[in-house]
Amino acid sequence: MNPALWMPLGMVPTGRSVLLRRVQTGHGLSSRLAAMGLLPGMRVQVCHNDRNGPVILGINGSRVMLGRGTANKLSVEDTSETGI
Amino acid sequence: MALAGNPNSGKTTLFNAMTGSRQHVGNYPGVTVEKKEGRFKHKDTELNVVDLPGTYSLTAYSIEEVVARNFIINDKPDVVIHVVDASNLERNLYLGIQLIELGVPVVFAFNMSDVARARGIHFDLDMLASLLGAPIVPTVGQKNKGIDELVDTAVRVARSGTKPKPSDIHYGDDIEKAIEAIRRRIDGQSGFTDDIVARWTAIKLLENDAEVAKLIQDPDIHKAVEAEQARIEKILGDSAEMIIADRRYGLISGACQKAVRSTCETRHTNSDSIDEIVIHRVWGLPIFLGLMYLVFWLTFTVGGPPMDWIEGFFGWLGGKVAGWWPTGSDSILQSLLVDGLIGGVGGVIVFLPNILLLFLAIAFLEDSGYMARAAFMMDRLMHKIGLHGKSFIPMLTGFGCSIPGIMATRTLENRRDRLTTMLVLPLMSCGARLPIYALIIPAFFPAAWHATMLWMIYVIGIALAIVSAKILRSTLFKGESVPFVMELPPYRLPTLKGVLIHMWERGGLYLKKAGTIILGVSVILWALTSYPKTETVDTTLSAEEQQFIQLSNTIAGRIGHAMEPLIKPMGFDWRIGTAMIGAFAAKEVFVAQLGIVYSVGEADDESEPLRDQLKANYSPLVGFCIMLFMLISAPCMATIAVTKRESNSWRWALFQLGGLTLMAYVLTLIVYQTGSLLGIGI
Ligand SMILES: Nc1nc2c(ncn2[C@@H]2O[C@H](COP(=O)(O)OP(=O)(O)O)[C@@H](O)[C@H]2O)c(=O)[nH]1
Repeated sequence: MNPALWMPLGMVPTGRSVLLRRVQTGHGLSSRLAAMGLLPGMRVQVCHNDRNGPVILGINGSRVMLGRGTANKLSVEDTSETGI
Repeated sequence: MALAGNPNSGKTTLFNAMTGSRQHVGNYPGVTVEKKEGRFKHKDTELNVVDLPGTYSLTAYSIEEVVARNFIINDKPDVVIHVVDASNLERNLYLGIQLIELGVPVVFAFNMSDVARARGIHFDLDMLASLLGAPIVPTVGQKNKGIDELVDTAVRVARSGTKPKPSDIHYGDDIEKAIEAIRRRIDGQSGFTDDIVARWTAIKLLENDAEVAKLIQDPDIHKAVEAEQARIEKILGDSAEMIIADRRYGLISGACQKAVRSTCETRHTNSDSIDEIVIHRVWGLPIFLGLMYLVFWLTFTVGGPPMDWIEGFFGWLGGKVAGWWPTGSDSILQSLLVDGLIGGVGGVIVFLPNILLLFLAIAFLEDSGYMARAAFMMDRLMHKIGLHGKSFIPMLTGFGCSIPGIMATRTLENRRDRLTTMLVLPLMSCGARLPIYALIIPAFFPAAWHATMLWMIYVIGIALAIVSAKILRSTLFKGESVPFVMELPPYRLPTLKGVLIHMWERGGLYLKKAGTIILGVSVILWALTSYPKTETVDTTLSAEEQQFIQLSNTIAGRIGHAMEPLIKPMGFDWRIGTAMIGAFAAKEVFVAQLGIVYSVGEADDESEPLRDQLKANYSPLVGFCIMLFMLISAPCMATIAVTKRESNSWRWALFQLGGLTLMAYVLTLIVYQTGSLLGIGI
């Protein structure tokens, strides 16, 4: 675990698979995100990220969209070597 | 019984399969969350089912979650059926664990089991059931499969009252110690005689649950909770809330590893390929606009003929009823029945085909999964005015009619977003205002300007809605814009039954509620425009002139006169004032009323004599001001009634009425005064 490699989720390009490392949102939202499967340590797939507008994530087979502001409050680590 | 489950797990489908049409939609007291209830008989047992709002969790994050868990805690259903999307088991069971924690008898319905099987997921149901401590029944909601067995099992569990043991959910020694410490303190308090409730409350306090915290008065308990939270954070390096969530997932994935075999993860592949086109950076928007155009086209063209039939029917009925009296009779009862009741009710029902079709199209787009994509695409735009993607759909519906638009705001979870959207929605120029523009524009403006003028009016409405939303969001409904988190369900072909039930739920409400209120007010307006009667009318005058004298003497006419000093600064005279009163019943009545005050008999938007009269009496500037005022001002009474019902308070409805009317007044005044001063269009 090397925090130097972490980046905001909003910066991850489409197609990458990343590990969620830290969730920095208010209490209510972080438990909501947890309920949808977004919890530190979980692997998520970035299905759609246009660098503008919401981000679509693949979590365990379901698709969840997050507003860009929220997405940038999640720190992730890119662990996929190749694009897909 | 109560049905709980994630959104899109097929809860509504199972509910419909059980109850058929014997369902009742209402609201939970005090909140605008829909409460669906149904009754049915299953092998001599009368059953009552409540469809709880779809939630991912039982925290206090949204009203839906609070409503769902309060129902389970306070109303104590005999059994809770947890509808699980079996093709996405882990996320769905997160709610399941919390249901077990609540200590209620639970039955799991593994719905979408067909999808799960197709995806190569195999369950060892017996093992899972024993791990979860509750029976599991696989179902396929769409095909009515497994429903009988599900109800059988639910009845059996309800009779025996077997509950899963919440203590089986073990959060690890550190957390358990904290739970135990808090639970012991709570146990002493009155009202917490139940061990399970006390344990649940302790967990919720550790999770920083605001609603539960409010129930605990004793400051010592709050201090103890804080101390335990600090201790956990120190030992485990993360907040108690996160660790609890993490443990729940740990328990679920432990169970799944033992009892679920998955050959591969393929869910969504088809959906993903559709999404590549549908939400494409370039194609997404044209596809969306095309679909919306299709929806309106369908609504207005397919809706046309049935509207004519309904209009024809009410015309025929009016004539038939009028025929009970001898010709020339001016019986009050006749006028009340024909002009007041039949005219009023007819005026409402005439829009029913439009509304049902619009709802049909919306239900189709929703059930297929497209609506979530539309919200995705509109989020960028809506974000700029402090709302998010989901507000777009109701706004769009508002161009057809504000009523279904306001009802569609139900999909917004956040009350601030919902009220903002609801309040500005009438600024989306609805279909009923079109006849006014169609009358005024050709009367005052050269043909080359027509399209531009009409376009301008709509754009002014949209611009004002944007500005007002922004203002509301930064004053009355201040607060951080709600984070936008929404699941994109996989695309599915909607079932006919599901779509029809959805359509009827909303359309029926329109008919029932708005119908009763509109009925009452139409009678009042009828009275206002018919009384007092002028006894001595010069019979040598033409019928139209007689009508004119009659009208100016009625209450509405007098109000029009009385209003004149107030509306004069906008360039309006008493005749326009009288017509404006009628427009409150329904916007399009404005045209007919003007027809009466200008003594041209039956008027419609094609009426040439009326246009000539208007041209002779007013300047183009006044014409424009009329349109501007009608665009912004007082939404019709049905809109007010619906806003009242949907916001659950007269305050917001009156605020909407007053606010919009004031805005209309001020803006029209400024336009008229500046226009006259600069000599534009006079
Ligand atoms: N393949 C499949 N589709 C289902 C099943 N149950 C429901 N659906 C579909 O899933 C969609 C969402 O269902 P709905 O009942 O509206 O979900 P809710 O949000 O939980 O109420 C609808 O299009 C249903 O037709 C099932 O068992 N199998």
